Amino acid sequence: MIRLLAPMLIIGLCAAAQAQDISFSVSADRTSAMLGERIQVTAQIVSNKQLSGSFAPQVTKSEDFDVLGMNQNSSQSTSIQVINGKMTQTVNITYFFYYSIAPKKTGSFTFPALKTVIDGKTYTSNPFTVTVGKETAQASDVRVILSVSKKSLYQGEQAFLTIKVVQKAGAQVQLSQQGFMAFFDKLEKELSKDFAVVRLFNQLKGVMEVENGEKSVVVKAQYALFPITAGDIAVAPVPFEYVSLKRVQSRRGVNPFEDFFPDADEFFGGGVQQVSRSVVSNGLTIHSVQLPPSPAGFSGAVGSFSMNVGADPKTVPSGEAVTLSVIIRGSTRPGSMGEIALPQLSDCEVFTPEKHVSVDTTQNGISCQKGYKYLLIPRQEGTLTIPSLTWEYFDPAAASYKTLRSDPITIAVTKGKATQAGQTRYLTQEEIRQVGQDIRYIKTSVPGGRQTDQPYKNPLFLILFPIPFLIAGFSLLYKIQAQRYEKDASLALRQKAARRAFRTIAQVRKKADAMPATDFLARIAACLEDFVTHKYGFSATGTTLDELRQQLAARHVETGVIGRLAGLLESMDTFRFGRRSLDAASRAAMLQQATQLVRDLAKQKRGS
Amino acid sequence: MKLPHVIPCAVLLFLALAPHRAGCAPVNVWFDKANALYEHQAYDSAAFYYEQVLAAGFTNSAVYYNLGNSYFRLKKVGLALLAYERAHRLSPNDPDIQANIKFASSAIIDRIPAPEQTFFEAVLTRLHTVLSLNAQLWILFFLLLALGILFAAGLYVSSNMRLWIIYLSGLLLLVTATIGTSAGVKIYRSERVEYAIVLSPSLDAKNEPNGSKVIFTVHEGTKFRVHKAINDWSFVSLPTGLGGWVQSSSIGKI
Repeated sequence: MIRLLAPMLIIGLCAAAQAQDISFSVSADRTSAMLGERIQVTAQIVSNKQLSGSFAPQVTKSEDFDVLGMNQNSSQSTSIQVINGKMTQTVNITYFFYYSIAPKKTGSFTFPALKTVIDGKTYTSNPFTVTVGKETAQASDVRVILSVSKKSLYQGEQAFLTIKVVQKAGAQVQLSQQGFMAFFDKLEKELSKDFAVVRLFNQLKGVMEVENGEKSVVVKAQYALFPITAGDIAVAPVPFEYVSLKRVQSRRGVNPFEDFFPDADEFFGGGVQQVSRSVVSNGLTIHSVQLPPSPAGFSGAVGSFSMNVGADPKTVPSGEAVTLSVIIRGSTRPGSMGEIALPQLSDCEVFTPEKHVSVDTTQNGISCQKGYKYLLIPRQEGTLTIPSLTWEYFDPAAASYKTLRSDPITIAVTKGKATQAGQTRYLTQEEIRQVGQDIRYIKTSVPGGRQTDQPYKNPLFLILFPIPFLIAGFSLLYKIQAQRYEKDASLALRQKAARRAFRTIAQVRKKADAMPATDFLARIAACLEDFVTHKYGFSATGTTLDELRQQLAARHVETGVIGRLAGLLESMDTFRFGRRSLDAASRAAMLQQATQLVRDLAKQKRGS
Repeated sequence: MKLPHVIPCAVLLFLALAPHRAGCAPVNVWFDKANALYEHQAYDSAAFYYEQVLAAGFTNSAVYYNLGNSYFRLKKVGLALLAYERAHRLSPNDPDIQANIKFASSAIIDRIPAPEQTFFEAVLTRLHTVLSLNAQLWILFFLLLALGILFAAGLYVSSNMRLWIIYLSGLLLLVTATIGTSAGVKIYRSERVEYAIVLSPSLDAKNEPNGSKVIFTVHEGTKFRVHKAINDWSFVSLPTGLGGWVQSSSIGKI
C-alpha cells in the first residue's frame, strides 16, 4: 500500500548546478519503494550547444542498491521569440541518462551525489534519500529460492544447486525466457569464481505445486557444483527480473457497460501496463573442505567410482592381437578423471590405446565414463599375464582415499600361424626386422609416362585386336573364292568380263586419234565380241549378226539391247569393210555406244 | 592404299596415342620439385606436389609410390598404404612398391590373416600376378596375330605343313586362353571388385548403415573389399569373410 501512496514521479529533487548555458539535475521516479522494486533515476544535462566527449555521470553499485542497467538519449528544442520585430532563436539540447537501481535491503539509504565534468568544469547534484519498505503482497508473487544438496563438501565433490522460481498462481506477472537466461548468466558468473559449474537442464518447464494450501507455478533448474577452492564460499543473492502486469483504468469516468462487459474498460481505452520488476534470490554459504594429503597415483577424482577390465580373446596365437578394455565410471566431470597407466608387459607389444570419454548429464547429476582399448600383441608362445590395474580416488562418503584394483588376467598364447604355415598376410614383428628398418627411397624419374590400370580401355587395343580376326576372315574368303574359280573356270571369265571390256575401251580411247580406223574398229568389235562370249558362254566371234541376235534372245537379253549391239557391229563392219573414213567425232560416239552397251549387257541376267 | 583411306587410320592412331602425349612438361617440373622437397624433408609440400601431378591426370606408379613415401614420413600410414596400393595396381611387379607395402603394413595395428592357399592356388596366383594387364593385352594381341597368320597360311600350304601349323596353333591357343582368362579376371576385378584402405585411426563396422551394433573394429591402414555403397555408408568385408557397414568418408578406395 505504501507503494501505491508513493508519488509516481518526482521531478526536480535536485537542481545542483546552473552555470551559464549548462544545467545538471538528477531525479528519481520515486523515493519510497519496496524491496524487489526498481527505481529509475534520471540525470539530465541541458546545454545550448552540442557537447562532446565523455560526460555521462557514473553510478556504481553499493551495499544498498544494485545497478541493473543504464540507458541514454538526447533531445533538441528550438524556441523563437519576436519582440518589436526583433527575432531571437534559442536552441536547447537535453541529454538524459537513465539508471535502473534495485534496493538490496529494507530501511533507508542515501543515493549519492552524481558528478559530471563538462569543458573542465565539474557539476554536482545533491544526494537524496530513498526509503525501502518490506515486500508487499504483490512483490512476493515471484520468489527465487536457491538451495544446495550439501552445505559442507570436499573440494572436487559433486553437489547440486537447485534453483526454484516460484510464481503464485493467478499472479499478474510475466516471466520471460530472457529474464531466466539473464539470471542464469549472473548466477553462473557468481558461482564460477569458486566452483566448476555444469548445467543439468536443457529446457525450463513450469510445474503446478501446492505449498501450505497455496497453489504456485514452480520452475526448477539444477546445476552440478564442484568446489575448486577450499573454505567458506558465499554465494551472493542474484536478482531475477520479471514483468508485473497492472490493469489501467480508463479516464472516461463511469463506464455504463461495466456491469455487462467486464472487459469493456480495455475496449474503451483501458488496458494492461507492464512494469519491470526484479526479485533477489537468497544467498548461500557453502563450506568446502580441503582434501587430505593424497597418495601417489591420485589424479584428482573425487566421488564414487567403479572399474571394469576385460581382455578378448583369452587364447591367441603369438603375433596376433588381444584387445584389453578398461572402463572407469564415476560421479564426476571428465576433467577431473586422470589417465590410467598400463604396467610394462614383457614379450608383448602394446599399441597406443583408443580412448572414449562419455558424459551423462541428468537430473541426478553428472556421471562420466572413460574407456581405454589397448591392443596387445604377444610375441612369444606361452602365458601372458596382465597384472592388476589400480585406480586411486577420494571417496567423500568414507572421507578417505580408496583404490580400485582389477584382477590379473591370464592369456594363453599359442604358436603363431606364421610359424605353422609360413603364410600370413601381415608380417610378424620378427619379419618386420627382416623387411628392413625403413621404407625404400623415392623414385627420381617417371618411367613409361602416363599409366592406367584400365589399359583395355585404350583405343589402340580397339583398333589392333580386330586385325588378326580380319586376317583370318579375308584369308578364308579368298580361299573360298579361289576354290569356286577352280571348280568353274568360266565363272572367273564371266565375273571379270565387264571389267576387262571397260579396260580395253579405256585403252582404245586413249589411243583413238592415233590409231588407224581399221585397227580402232577391230579392237572395239573384238572387245564387244569377247565380252559377249565371256558373259553368255557362247563364241560370238565368227557368228553372223542373225546368229548373234538369236543366241542373245535365247538368253533373255532385252531386244532393244540386242538391236543396239547388232546395229553397232553392223555399222562398224560398214566402216571396216567399206573403207570409209572415220573422224574423231564418230570414234568418240562409237566408244560411247560400246561403253553403254557393255554396261547394259552387264546388267542383263544371264539366261541358260 | 589410297590417300583418303590413310587419313582416317592416321587420325585414329593419333587419338589412340594422344593420352600418352598430353601434359608432360608441367608434370615433370612438379615431379622434380616434389622430389627436391622430399630430399629436404619437406614431406608435406612434397605430398602436395605429387598430388598436383596426379590431379593433372598424370597417373604413374612412381608418383603414387613417392606420394606414399611422403605420407609415410608424415606418419599417415593409411594414406601411405592407399598410395602404395594404387602404385601396385599400376606396376604389380615393382619390387620397391612391394617392399614399402610390406614395411608400411608392419606399422598398422590389425593383423588379419589371409585365407590359406594350397600349392596349386599359390602357383596360379603367382602366374596371374606375374604380368601386368597391359603386358598381357599386348601378348594377347601378338598371339592372336600369330594365330590369324597361321590360320591364313594353313589354308594355302601343303598337308604336311598344315599339320605342323595345327600343332603350333593348338599350343598358341592354349597360351592365349590362359593369358586371356587371366586378363579377363583382371578386367572383371578392375570393373567390379573394389578394395579400400581405412584412413581414420579407428573405424567401427556396423550391422547396418547408421546401425548401433558394432560388428568389428578396424584401424588405420587395414585393407578390405568394398561390395556396395548406400549414401555415405559402404558395405565392406575382411579377408576372413566378416562384413559390416562403415562410413565411406573414413576409407580410401584403391
